[in-house]
Amino acid sequence: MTEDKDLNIKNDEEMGFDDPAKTIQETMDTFLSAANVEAVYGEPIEKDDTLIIPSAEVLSFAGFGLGTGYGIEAGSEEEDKSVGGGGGGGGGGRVLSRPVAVIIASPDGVRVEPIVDPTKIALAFFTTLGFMVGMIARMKRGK
Amino acid sequence: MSEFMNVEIQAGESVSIGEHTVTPFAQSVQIRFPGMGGFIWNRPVSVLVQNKDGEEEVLPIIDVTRQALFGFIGLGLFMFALTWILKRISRKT
Repeated sequence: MTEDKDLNIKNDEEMGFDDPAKTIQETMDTFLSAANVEAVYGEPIEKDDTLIIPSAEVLSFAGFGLGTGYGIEAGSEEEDKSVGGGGGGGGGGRVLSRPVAVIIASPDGVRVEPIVDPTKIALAFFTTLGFMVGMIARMKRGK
Repeated sequence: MSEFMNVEIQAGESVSIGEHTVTPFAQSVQIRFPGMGGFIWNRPVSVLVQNKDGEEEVLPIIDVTRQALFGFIGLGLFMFALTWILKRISRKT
């Protein structure tokens, strides 16, 4: 990548590093392949005359970072002096999935049954309730 | 849409059972930060039901949990705004 003949700096390939941009692009392509309809709908389950298709919301994110650096020996007066370099990188990601609904197809017809998460709703309810009680208490104190 | 953001609705594989053919649809939101990462949000949107008579019906997929959560967040924000307005009025009078 970097080439400076005056300082005899070697590029990444000469120093044995893989092309970081290429590695990131490949990882990114693999990550983006998750954005398809198969990630949302599960394998249909057929029993007797009924077909069930589960569906879920899928949230995925990934982040990458990398850096490389080179330097000459401190206090060196010789410009041709060999230099050192280094590089590093890292990344992380996460996939979150939550069931949303089930599609049920039977001879009577097709219907969509929502999947309700009572724990999440109860937590949100009590958090909002606490917030509202706090706000009302503050209002009363203000008077 | 662009290299940074892409929103699309994709159709899944149709499944037939009895007189019905079911085709699911999903929405995908992709946000890319070139060289840094990205974010993907996939969610089910609707189901297209086709009968043998040729009748078509679209059944929306409603996320009840998300609606409830947004409802509580909205209520909390409304209360916050109301308290703030009432406090300002009481200070002026």
